[in-house]
Amino acid sequence: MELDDLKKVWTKVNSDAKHPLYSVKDISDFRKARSKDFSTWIQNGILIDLILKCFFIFAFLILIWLLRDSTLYIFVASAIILLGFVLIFLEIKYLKTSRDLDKSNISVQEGIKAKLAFLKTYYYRIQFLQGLTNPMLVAAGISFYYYSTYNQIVISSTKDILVILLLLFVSFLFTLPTTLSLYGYHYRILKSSLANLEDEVSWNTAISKYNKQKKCLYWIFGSLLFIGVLALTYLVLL
Amino acid sequence: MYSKCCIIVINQPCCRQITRIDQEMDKLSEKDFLEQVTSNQNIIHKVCNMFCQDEDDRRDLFQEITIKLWMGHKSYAGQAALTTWMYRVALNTAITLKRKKKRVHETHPLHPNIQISDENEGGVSQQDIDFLYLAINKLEAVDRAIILLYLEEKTYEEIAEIMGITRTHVGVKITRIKKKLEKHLKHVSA
Repeated sequence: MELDDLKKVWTKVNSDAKHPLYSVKDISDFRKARSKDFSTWIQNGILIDLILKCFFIFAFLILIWLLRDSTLYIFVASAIILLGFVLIFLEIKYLKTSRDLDKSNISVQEGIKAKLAFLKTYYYRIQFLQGLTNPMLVAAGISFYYYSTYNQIVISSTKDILVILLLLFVSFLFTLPTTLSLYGYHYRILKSSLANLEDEVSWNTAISKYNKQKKCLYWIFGSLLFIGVLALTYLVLL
Repeated sequence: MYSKCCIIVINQPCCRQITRIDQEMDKLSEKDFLEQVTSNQNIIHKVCNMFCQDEDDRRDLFQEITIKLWMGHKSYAGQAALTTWMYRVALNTAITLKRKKKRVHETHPLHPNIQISDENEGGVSQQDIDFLYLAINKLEAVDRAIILLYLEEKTYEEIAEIMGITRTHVGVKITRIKKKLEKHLKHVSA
């Protein structure tokens, strides 16, 4: 087939293609559906995380009331609550920024650039902030456990402190590799699309570079998680 | 106040339909939006056929494009032709939508459900369509978008406006994509 025949074939394809002809009602139903775009996914993730953080702040307020005799605990819990409010403030700020991604009246190049810029900067910050919810859950869980078992927070040795700190660290690392690598591939695809539009590097180079970086990232996080779990096991068994 | 009307020619599969849109209307109302998207759905189908290889993906992309059009319909103020705006939103969505990694490389042509009743009808055979889709499937997303607009006989200015590049760059890109397609076509025909 010659290249000149392409248009003829294309016209034929589109006149013969048996794609469904949607009615006004179908289109109306489609527009109400939930978007699968990553901006919607990120916005939903932030909203869920905000609810969780508010819940944990409330949990720590209850803990302060329950453990009101311990000045040290009140100080630590107040610091966590304050940190929670700062994180909530930042996440609301990033939520507003992510809504800019839904702009439709922009060219393809502008659209790719906006999403790339968001993924490069705000996405990792958002994941970091969301990763901090896990240590909040662990801290609240430990506190409730101590209260229900001993009616107070009993940290008698340096070993206890180390175990708790390691638990908090491991819980922070636990979901981070998954969330960080979730959009890595998408980022590379967008980057190579922009490069193609601007004629810079080839698609294959971008993909192979991504695969190498992904392997490296998995090794780093895997090693850190393994060391953390080993240290925790060692301290518990000691 | 002025009452100037513009005429948008819509390419339908079987006929050409002329729709009048009053430019006094700053934004598309819900009713207008639904009517316009329904009557111009062929644009969305073409984009879906160009970017997706199976029926479920095509339906998902169609839905996603409709959502994006709905989300942005209020910002459409008639500054560009409605079809140009639809192409812009549709291609933006198709290119930037997160996709699953394809682990298995397809070796057979995957295209919309097209069965030509009469072989060589209009000088086009089923094999030609298979070749076209095999060649298109080897193109990168941006190249697919440009070649789609080229095949839809959009002018270089319109392609430049939709893609956000210069008219000269559009010319360069089309020449390169044609060469790539020619190479792929020779490869698949062999």
